[in-house]
Amino acid sequence: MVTAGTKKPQVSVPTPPPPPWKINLQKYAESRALELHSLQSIIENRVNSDYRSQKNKRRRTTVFDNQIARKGCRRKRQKLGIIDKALAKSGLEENHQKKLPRCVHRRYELKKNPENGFCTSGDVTKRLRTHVWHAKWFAMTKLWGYHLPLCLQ
Amino acid sequence: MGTEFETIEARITSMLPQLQSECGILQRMVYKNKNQHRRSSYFQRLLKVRRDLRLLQSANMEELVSSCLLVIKGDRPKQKLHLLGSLKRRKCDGDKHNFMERLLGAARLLAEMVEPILKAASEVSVLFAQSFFMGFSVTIMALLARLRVLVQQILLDVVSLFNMVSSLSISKQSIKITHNGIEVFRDFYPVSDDFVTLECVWKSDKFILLERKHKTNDESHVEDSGGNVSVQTSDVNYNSIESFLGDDQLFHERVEADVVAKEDPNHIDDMNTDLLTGSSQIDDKETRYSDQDTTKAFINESSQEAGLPASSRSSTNDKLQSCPKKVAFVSIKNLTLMRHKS
Repeated sequence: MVTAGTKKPQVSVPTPPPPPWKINLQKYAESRALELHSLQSIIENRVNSDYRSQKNKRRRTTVFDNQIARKGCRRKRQKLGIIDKALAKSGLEENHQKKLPRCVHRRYELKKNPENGFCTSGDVTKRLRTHVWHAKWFAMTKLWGYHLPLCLQ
Repeated sequence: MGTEFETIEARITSMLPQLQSECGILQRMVYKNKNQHRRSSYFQRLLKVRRDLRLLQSANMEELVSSCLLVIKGDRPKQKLHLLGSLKRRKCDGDKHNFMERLLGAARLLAEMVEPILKAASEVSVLFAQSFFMGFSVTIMALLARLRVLVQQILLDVVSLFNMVSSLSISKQSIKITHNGIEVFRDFYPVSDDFVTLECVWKSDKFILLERKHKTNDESHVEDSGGNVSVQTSDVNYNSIESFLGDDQLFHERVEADVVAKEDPNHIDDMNTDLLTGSSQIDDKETRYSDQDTTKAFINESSQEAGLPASSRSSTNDKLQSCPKKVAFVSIKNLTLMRHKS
């Protein structure tokens, strides 16, 4: 008399469709306008209309950017050129390090001029303020304790 | 009552796929923007929202809701009996939880999901105020707004479904099962345990879930079991043997029944309960779900009277051969009435 019972159907959950690859932002927001307005009113009540970010939650946002750090190093090098001893040290360091491009090198040489007076070279002869330019266009000679351009006339 | 649960069914079956699609979009947004935003506090809030949604997906809401609707509707009586029987199992028996406990856990999760959504939205609104990452912040705000509404509405529907099913599981009921032309009535007796009722209260900006425990009265349980017998006899319409068969053996049975009726007027109830054991023998699988106490009572009564179940078995065999669609019960009140008339 006992008959076999029917198998109970298992509840199978269908696989959800994959999320859309692109979202039209305006349509997406407009279709949820009512929910957005109610959410906005709730948040406004919570925050008391104060939307400033808290200072303890601010983070440094330029840690990943390495260029600024390198610029800081460059600025430090420029300060070394004022004193004669520092000049010699920087010269030695430049020889050991990779060579700078020539235009950059001449720019540094030009910036090394003092505001007043003369700059002395290695063998204690004085240089004019325009020494860098003249050295580029003229033959230089040492007369009367100065490093002077030589004119052919 | 009927229209109410139909409305809830239509609403919740339309909302669960929407929730799944919004969850997919959120996971996609998190995946795409993780490298750029991962240290910021608003993104940490978003990750918490995603975690809660994944938990909700693992709870498998569609299955739980369909189980509740089966119990409330009753259109599949065997599954309804199975589900109501599973509720009688002791809570956390072994590793399996019954569907009501899983539904309660899902309701608790839904109630707790709203707060991280609101916090994430308030953090993202700071981005809005600064007009940083406008595309990202507009999408996330729209997404969180829809999620908040969906989560709270699903919570309300789940709570009302839970209350309906718990009220059904408390009350006793008889369920009709038709299988291959045979109709069988199964009785469900509730366990006298504490039951839980859920309630949602709106506080400032969200719903808070309240759980209340109730106790069933033992006295009312005894009264219900007493009243059940009378209700049961009135519900089922029995047919007499004479309408089916005209054999000589029945005359002999008539004489025996007449003698027994003269001796004990209370014996008629015992005969009815004796026939119920015959019905339980026909379908052995359903006997698992019945009460142990009632089966013990049936066994004791059947052991006291050895001759009668044999006659009932033979009569059921004869009936099935002649008319397969008829009910497999015979009441003795009709016999006595027929005899008095003749």
